[in-house]
Amino acid sequence: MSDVEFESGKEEYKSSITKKVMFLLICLAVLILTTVVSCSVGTGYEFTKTLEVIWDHIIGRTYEPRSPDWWADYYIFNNVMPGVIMALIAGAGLALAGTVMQSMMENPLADAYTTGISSGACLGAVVAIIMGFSYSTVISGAGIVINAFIGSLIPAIIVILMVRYIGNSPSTIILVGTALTFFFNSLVTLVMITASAESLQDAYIWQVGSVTNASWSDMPLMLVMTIASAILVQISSSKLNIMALGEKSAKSLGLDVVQFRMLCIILTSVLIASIISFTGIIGFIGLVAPHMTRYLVGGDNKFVVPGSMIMGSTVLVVADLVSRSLMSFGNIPIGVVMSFIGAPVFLYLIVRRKSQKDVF
Amino acid sequence: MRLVIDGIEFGYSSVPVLKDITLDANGPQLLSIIGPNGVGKSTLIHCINRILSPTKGTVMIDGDMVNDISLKDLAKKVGYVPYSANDTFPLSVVDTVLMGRHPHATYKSLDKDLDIVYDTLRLLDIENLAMRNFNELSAGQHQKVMLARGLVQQPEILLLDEPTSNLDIKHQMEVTRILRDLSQEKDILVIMISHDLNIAAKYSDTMIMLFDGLIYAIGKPSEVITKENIKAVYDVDSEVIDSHGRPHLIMLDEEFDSRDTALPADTYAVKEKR
Amino acid sequence: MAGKQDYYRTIHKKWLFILVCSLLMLVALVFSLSIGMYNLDFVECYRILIDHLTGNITDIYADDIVVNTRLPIGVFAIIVGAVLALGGAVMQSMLRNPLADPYTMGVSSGALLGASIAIVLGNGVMPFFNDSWIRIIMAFGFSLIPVAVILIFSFKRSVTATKIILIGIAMMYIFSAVVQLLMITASEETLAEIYSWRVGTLALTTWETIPIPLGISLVCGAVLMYHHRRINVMMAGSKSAHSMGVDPEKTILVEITLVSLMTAAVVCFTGTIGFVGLVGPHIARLFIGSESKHLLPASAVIGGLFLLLANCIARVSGEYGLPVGVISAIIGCPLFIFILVKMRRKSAWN
Repeated sequence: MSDVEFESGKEEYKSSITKKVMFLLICLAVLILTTVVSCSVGTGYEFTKTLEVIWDHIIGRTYEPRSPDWWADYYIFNNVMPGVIMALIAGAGLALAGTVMQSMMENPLADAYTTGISSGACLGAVVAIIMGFSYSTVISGAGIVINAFIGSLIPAIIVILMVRYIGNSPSTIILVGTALTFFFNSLVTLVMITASAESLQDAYIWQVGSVTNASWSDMPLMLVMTIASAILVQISSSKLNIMALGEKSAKSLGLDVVQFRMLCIILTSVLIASIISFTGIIGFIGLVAPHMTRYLVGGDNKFVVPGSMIMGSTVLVVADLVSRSLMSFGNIPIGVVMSFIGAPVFLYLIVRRKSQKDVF
Repeated sequence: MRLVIDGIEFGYSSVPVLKDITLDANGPQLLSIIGPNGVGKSTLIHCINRILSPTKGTVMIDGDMVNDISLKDLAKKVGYVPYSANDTFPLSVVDTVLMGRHPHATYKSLDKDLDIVYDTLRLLDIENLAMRNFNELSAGQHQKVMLARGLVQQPEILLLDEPTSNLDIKHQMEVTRILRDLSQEKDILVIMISHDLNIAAKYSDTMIMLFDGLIYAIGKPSEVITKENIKAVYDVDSEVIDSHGRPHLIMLDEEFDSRDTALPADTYAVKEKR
Repeated sequence: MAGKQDYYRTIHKKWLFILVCSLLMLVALVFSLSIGMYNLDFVECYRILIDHLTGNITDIYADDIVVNTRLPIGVFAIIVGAVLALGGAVMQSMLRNPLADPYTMGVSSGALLGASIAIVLGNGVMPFFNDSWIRIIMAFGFSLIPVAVILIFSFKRSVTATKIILIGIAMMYIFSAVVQLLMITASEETLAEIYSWRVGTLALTTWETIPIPLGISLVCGAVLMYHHRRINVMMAGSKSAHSMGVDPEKTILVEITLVSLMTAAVVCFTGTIGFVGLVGPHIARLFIGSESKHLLPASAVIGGLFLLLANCIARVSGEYGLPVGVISAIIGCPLFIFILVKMRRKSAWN
């Protein structure tokens, strides 16, 4: 390769990085815009008014109590924003977990619930709601959350223990996770079938992911976990790249595959547990957001990690927007909206993958 | 048996793979198809047994168009041994080979089918593996079982997709020789895709070299394996010598061959430990 | 010839196994008559049956319970279990996937959608009109929509095996999303009803509800077993099957239509009972091997036995008994895990 070719090769690489970063920044701007739009939907306030209120609140302006402005501020910040922000954080966290799982499992169709976490969380929550058992003495929102959190970690711990004895390959993890999912689901069914109609409905509504009952006090845990995980993952993004090449290649590049995989499982489990204990099971984000991002910025995890977080947030905020605009037809939680959006996208992914490699 | 292929074309979406293949193969013989990766060897084979349908041209076996024969009747004439076997569920060797009797089997033919299966297993010297689980066998044994499955179809034409790729040299020679002997004994036109040019040249009666979607060379091994052909199709320098009437290819790498690649005397780190 | 005798010996062993299991099944059937809130002795049940058949009924109350309530449930348990396990065996062999079951082509989500719509309409629109036959018909009809879509698709243009499966999965997702929507907007009672339908129960079986599913299952089941050779050849993979004279696309279309029809016929009465179709074939495979000629009948027998026993357990669990779907899931799960672990050692499946 001549010197000129070499230099222009380097230039090309640098400019592609710049392009990707610019793209991510644009996506971020879109996200912020969407969030504000979302806040104005269903509240009866116009977009500019909402923007004004939010900005004023941030800069710390206070109002005379019970003035129209005060009501606007109160309404937006206490009723609407918590849900939107929770959707934002949850979307980022779930997408992050999904990205990690896909690289780690070397399987683009893996998602964060593969290890059975969602079923464990359901069991925990359902037990709290229906049977009134909880690890905390307060049988209320907090009790359910704590139960769900602990419940979701049980399958994760089982997977980690079994992997020690049976083997570390992705297919083992998927196998054990699938079996655990079935098992915990059957326990959930058992509990739900013995419940009264009222608590059954509460349990079911919990399971289908929603952000409508969000409050600001729910945020700190989710936010801290998501940001901490994001930082850790971004730092390890090159290791994730190597993992995706396959076990043998990764080992030969000096990566302790076994340990890294274990760390990934632990990280994603705690991250997801901290999200779904509050929101219930929101599906498809962890699967779809990374793929959409990869389609736009390529496969380098250095960009896919922040990209999919932004993408995941945007999608979930939009889903929340849709959910709230349909409020007049009935309470349609965000989980249901995601089912309708996520299913076609997921199918498109399978179609594209299978046509590339005739698995049958 | 007579295989006549007339002007077939095939492509995936808009990428042409086979451009115009015409050939007339007659009588029992071992015919190898060689050529670089992706040139369409498997595609050609799949057009013969109708797994793929050529976009143009016809394939005729014994005067009948392949498209006009029912799939079951076609299976009585054409057998196929795939590149690798990937069986999800555990099955015994006999059950695996018995599958090949499907085109001929009826509800009361089990006894006769079993006779044929065991005969074939004995012919390939794997009768002792009969009740073993297929998944427990070695690669060489896998290949023989797959071959048995193709043979019990009692075909006139047998297609094999790289039957010796994952075998050691002893088994490579053994299987290829069996194919050649079988073609004469059982009156079969055996068509084999091979990457090993020397093994193919040693045992085949005819060779076909595919390149750029067309038949680049066809004829006896010594006519096809020539320095010029190898250079044109594979872009590899070579020398061809004669081994018992068959061509043997020696690969040359001009740049490497002219180098002095000896390591300094004191760097030989691998020594016999006393 | 020495070798051939070995093979015949194994075949005889397999048929013996199937025979023994069938006998066990009959014994279990009589046994199931003695289980329940009104406890009867095993021998007593036997006597009651004979009395009924000879027209010499002594204890009217016991006779009513045994013959009119428990016997149809037991018989139907065998039918449903056999249908699901047979369907599962066919799907697993044909699709070469140990996680396949008779519901894989969208039958379960279709049935659930049909039943849910019937329940919602019944409770919401016409609160007094709770005719269970409407629910059954809706469940049956909707469960066949995925197969119908696949068949229509295949008439217009040729479909590969992969496309067929994808359409099935697509329909499953669409239907699941709609069901989720229905469930979330439903009232408490409606939701509870839908949920318990989904779990699956045999408790509503009467002699009137048996003939139709029995008839459909016998016909479909017989045809499937007649097709055992081509299903067996499908295990070799699409290309190899083609070269052995079996058209993969046509075979998949025909067999999934039969399996879906048969499954729909029973599921519309019982709800989507899980695990029998998944685990039954695997248990049979442990004893019989994967050869379809014996695997299919063996799966049917083991499925029937499994569901019969699960139903017995369900009847005595909890205060008023539990739906059989819960028990089949709870027993089925550990069994499934155990079998998977064992299979990984035995086969090259990785």
